[in-house]
Amino acid sequence: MASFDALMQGFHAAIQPTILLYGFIGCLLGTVVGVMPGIGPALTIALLLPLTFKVPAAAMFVLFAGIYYGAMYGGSTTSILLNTPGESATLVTALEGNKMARKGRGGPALATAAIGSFVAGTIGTLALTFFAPLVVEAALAFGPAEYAALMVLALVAVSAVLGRSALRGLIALSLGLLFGLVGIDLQTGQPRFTFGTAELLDGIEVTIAAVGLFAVGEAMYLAWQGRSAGGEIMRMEGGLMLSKSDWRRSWKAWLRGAGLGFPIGALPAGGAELPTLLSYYAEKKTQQPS
Amino acid sequence: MTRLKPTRVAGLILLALGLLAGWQVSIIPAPPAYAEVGPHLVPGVTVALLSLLAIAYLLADWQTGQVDMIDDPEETPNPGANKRLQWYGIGLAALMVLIPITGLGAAGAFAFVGIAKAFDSKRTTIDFLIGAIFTTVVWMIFALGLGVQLGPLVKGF
Repeated sequence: MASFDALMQGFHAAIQPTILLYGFIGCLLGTVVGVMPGIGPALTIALLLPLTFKVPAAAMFVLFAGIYYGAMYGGSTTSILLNTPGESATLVTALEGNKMARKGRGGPALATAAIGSFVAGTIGTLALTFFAPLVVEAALAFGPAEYAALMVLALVAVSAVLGRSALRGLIALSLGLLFGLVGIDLQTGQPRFTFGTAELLDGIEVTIAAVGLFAVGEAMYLAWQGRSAGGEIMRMEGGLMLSKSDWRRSWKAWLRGAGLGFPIGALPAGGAELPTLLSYYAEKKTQQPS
Repeated sequence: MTRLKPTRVAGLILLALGLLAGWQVSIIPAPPAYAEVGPHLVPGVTVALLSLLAIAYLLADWQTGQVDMIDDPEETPNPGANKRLQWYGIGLAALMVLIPITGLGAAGAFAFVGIAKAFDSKRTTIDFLIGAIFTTVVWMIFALGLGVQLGPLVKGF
């Protein structure tokens, strides 16, 4: 059990007070970063990289991991309460969590996001420790064709399942693909859809699109409606706790999410968005709305 | 002349976007002769898909009508929607136009006033002050605290 020994050594290192403090700072900073749209975990870690010259490597790893986990959770808070995803991976949380908040169930939505993050994150981390060698082999077997198939599956599933009109879903899909193509073609270096401007050579960032669609668009929609502000405040009714039926409906979804997220996240370039959308599709098909 | 329905306008904008994107695809340089797949292939397919879908949308709108939120009694706006949207547009435009001229701080304050007016705010002076304080705090956190290059808060200082 070489990996088990290594894991125990890791726990021994992680339990030291200074390392725990770094973990706490990382989570706190990550949550703050996740709440703010436009600045993500990758940017924060890049800004903090100079610290690695002064601080031991283990502490830095704990800090960075804390930032990542914190950001992934912090993004869900604004998604649920403000319908503004802080991270691209929390788009789905905004779609469904905000509906819950509108019904006065913001507390349980926040709680299930937090507990689900913890459960699936713990499963993923444990699984990674023991299955990492196997996962590496599977990841290496993935070629361009497999990636393309995975991508097409996620895109088609999402555009077909969202909203009432499949035609509108497909239009949104092709618009998204079109905006994603802006910038330099990575294979040949040719600029595409840049209209000759240097600013567009790097393409359009996901965060910009997300803030434009969900923050600017949502505010514009609210201004157009012109409802009095009183009706739009999300009240946190009924406390944070999940009811018995919430637990019953949630725990399988957490496990399914971990089952989808772990293998894809372990693939290089798997990312957080793809498994999120896939598991949303799976839940939307299997769960009956109560 | 009857006014165009909003859904019809949306379809026409999509079609125009398809044509514009098609023009951009046509000016992507052709790949060298030995390459089977060039940088124009996927953009071409995407633009063709978008244009086809836009035509399908317009046809469906012409025959059966598309769902428009304006017809949904729960979603119809309160009176004065266009005026509010105009203020919103003025706020956003102020942000985009003023940032290169005055710097982020002043532009943010003016944008705040415009968007607050879009939400039926009557207190322009207080809005301006709130916007100025808010953008200053944000600018201090990002420009001074995190070292992000945002330019000066107000140009000339």
